[in-house]
Amino acid sequence: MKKRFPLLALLLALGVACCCHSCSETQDTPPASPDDGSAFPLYEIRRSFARDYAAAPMTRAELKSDRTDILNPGYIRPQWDSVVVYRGENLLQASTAFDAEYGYCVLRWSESDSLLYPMPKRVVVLKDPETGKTSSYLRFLIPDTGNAVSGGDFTGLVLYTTLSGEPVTIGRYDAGELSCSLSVFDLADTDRANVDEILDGMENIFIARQLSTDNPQDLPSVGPFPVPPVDIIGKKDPKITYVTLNFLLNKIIDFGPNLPGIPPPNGNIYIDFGQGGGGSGGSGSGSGDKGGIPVADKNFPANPKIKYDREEVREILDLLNRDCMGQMLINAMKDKVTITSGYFGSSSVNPVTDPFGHVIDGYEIKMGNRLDPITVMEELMHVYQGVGKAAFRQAAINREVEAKLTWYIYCQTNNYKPNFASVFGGKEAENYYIVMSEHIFKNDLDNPAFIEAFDNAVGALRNIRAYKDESRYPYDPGDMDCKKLMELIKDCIKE
Amino acid sequence: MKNTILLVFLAVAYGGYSQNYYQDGTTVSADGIVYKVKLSEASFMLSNTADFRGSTPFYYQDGRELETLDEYAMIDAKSNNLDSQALREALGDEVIASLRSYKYSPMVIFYVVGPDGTTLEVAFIMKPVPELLSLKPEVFADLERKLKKYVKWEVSELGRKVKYFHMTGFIGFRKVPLSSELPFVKQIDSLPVMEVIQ
Repeated sequence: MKKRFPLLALLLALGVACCCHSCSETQDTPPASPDDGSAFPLYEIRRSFARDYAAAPMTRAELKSDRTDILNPGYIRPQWDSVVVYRGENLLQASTAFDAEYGYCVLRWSESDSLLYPMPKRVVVLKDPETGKTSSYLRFLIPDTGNAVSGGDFTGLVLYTTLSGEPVTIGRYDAGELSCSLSVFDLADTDRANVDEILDGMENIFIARQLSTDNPQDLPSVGPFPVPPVDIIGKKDPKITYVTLNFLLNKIIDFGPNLPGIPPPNGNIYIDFGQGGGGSGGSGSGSGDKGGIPVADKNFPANPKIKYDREEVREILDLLNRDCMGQMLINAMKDKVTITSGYFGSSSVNPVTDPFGHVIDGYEIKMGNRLDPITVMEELMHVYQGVGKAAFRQAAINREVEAKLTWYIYCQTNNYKPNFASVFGGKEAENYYIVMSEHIFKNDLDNPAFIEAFDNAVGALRNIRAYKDESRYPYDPGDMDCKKLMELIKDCIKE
Repeated sequence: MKNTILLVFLAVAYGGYSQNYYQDGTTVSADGIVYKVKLSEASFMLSNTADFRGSTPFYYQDGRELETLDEYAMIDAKSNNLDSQALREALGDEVIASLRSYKYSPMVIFYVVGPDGTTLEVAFIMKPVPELLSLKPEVFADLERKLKKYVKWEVSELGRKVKYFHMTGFIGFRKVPLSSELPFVKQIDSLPVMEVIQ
């Protein structure tokens, strides 16, 4: 890498001489106006992000010791419950803080001291309301001094990257006003003097990345704090990787032709400083109080492996624990399961893994709009089924049917009165679940009627577009034995 | 003498329950409603042949299809719980009392709900138990009408933006009060109707 540095620096010099900068220009200068979200609703924001994220070249995240990839965040988990939407003259912008595999700080060296400063980061999703086009970026704030990241008087640098961490645009702000910018979108507009002005201010700025899977608390959200013993990449067990900002700017020049559809905005109004934008990042466990995000800090007494955040979740767990099958399911949680609630949209469950996919810290369940026993049960069932493991993925739609059948049976055995939104794919589908549950009660899963109903239930789920993707939700017709469900229910139906 | 009366009563009751109006793959009609019958060892389903909104996907009112699970998760509704009243009026106390004996709920009501919270369509998905198989189609037609009349929904924000959506739920017959079990019946003097407070 050291050998490459002069070459890259040369490239930078050559690059800036012929391309990519504009100064005192804004690409979009609409007035600041927080939007009520109706023009860019959350589901559309999430869908746009998911599409861009799926297309991002994540394989680069494996290159942990490559300084050119230092801003590659690894996995990204936006905090969807704190999205802020701004409406500009030409663009809608949604942004929110995110958890990532890595944490970032600004490392400032001086003769006497070396300090790490917070480097707030947000994911930004842009939409052109006229064309409907969307693009997603990561945005990093690099304040000139310490924690001066609040309100509209920001002084420092704003760096936009792709979701893979490739720098695209950097702008300098003085008291909230954009003064200079350098962007891959302005290759035809060159002014070397102004580029130098930007670069001169960056000589002593270093971007530090922490391999943060060990302890998400390593990088506090406020600073500065002394640099821990810095292990340079290439040494054993590196904790901090860093490069100069100048070095990173090579990436702008080197970006290549695959530009996102919409340039990042460099107007003043777009630099929102919403809650949760702190620089700690790199969570990996989702724990910690981040801008009002719920914290699963209470243990469920019947199985302390389960941690939860709110009393509503506790009440649901209590309810499930009073049911035979629910109790079996709760007791079956052998790894840590954290349940937090209050998220928008659907609920989700994910294993907390290291970069190689090994489960290292149990499972996270995030409860969305529906906080009820059947939804909690479905997510717990996915944990029991081994979500994240290859066997789960290879028959993901089978697991969906099995999990839904689990709570469907719970509803029957408990005379669960409240109506719930039907999620099976229509009324015919509901009939398939009745048929399947009858055969489950009789432990008669080899019956052709059960097999036919299971097969039809899969077909009905495919009516919902999200389940249509057979590569994401593969179907294994040979895997209908509902083994996990039968393990839970076998002793209960004898009662 | 008492035993004779009891035996006669049981015979009549059995005779009533043993009457089966339904054959798989056929239709039955009652009071202008035609039901398609699906009947197997494990299930008994009646769906109005005039209904057409019983399958997914869902659509926004501008015609766009819902795509993500987030969208589906944000569609929800809360009913006014007047299905109990419809059930009591249509089925009668005797049937409800009998259905209470089943360990697991034998009946699901499937609703198609409009964005304004009205019940647009109803289907009955049941287990093939004698008490339900012995009900005449007229009983289900009456139940359907009453459910459409009584059951209204408080719809979530996204639910108000779609053309229609589905709700469902098991009937816990032990929680459907018989006439004699109604906790309180209050006469509203100024109105010529009874308001049932459950």
